[in-house]
Amino acid sequence: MGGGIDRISTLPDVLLCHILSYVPSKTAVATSILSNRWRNIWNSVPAIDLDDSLYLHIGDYHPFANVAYALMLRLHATQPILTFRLKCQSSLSCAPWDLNLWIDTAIQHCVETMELSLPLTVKLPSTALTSAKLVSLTLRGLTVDNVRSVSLPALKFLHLNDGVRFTESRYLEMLLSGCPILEDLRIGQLEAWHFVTEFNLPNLIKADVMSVSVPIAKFYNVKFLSICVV
Amino acid sequence: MSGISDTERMITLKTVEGTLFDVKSSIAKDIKTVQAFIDDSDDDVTSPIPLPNVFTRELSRILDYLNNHHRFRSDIEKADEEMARYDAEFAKSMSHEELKALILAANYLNVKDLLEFLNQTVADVIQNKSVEFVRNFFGIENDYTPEEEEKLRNENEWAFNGVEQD
Repeated sequence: MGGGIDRISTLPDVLLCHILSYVPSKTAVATSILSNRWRNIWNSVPAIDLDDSLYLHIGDYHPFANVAYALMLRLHATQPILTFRLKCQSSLSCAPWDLNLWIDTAIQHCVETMELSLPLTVKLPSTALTSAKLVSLTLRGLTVDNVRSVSLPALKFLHLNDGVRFTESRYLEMLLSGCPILEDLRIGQLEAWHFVTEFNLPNLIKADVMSVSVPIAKFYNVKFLSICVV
Repeated sequence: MSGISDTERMITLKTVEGTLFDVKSSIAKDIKTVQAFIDDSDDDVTSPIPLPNVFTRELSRILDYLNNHHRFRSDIEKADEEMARYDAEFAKSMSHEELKALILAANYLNVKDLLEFLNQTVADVIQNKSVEFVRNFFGIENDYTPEEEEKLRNENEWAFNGVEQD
């Protein structure tokens, strides 16, 4: 049957887990149907990837939140979530209390890469900005408001896409000032940028900034600088 | 120690078939298994380093990839753009079997960036595909009874919603 050598099945499970960390959690769970060997591999995937558009057709937003909780409650306390991706088209998919809890859970599980793509009406939970292990943070769409403190001592990559809204420009200053070892900064069109002056990023290697009023002097030390004036 | 001779130092790698490849030491640094071998040797490595799990076809592709990425990185201007174009071509040029063989080799040689890229490529290939496609891709025999399969589908019904049935 089948024929040929099943070479990839000789790969350690950890490699299959790595592959599954790049697909939506829904797809990862569905691989349990492949064979007995695959039955529980998804359980060890060090990533959670949720996209409400994959669930909205089922009906209302409840199934999406249920799935998010089901995935997180199953996690063993020592199982890391190295990557946490959350993409919601509807603000109904991520009520504030749910969102807080999901992000807290990801942080407790030592998240290193976090990508949040949320509607503009959704506010970023403040816990997302105080995470000791976070290395890469990508934000799309959402609103940053009421920032009290920022502590991202391990953050090397910060990507703020078009549409991220800072209710006050000092929040952007606080964010940049809270990333002492940042190496790679990409910022889309941000209104808050216009008034930002106070920050210091001594380890910055690469900056890709879209703005009319960039404080260029602040980027004196970078190796790769791209400024798109719009 | 001496900067110039260090950058020009060459390492020789030997595949399963016995093919020899000369590799710049700067490239060898990205091949962690090779670098560990060099670091563990007391003397300068002059004889070929045997790679008992790596075939000529895969090593040649891996070296191509690393050489090109080193070249892109030295050119500041369009580094990202050209690298992305090269990566896309690189992924497209492989059959599924070649892709899997290359993952095994990159895993053994511990070339982190390439392994991440290849795993991402596999993830892209299997996404939104039918169960049978994925079984074929990985060469998996279905060893579930129809009853077991039905039970699993019911356990995590939400995950199979919208997945094509065979």
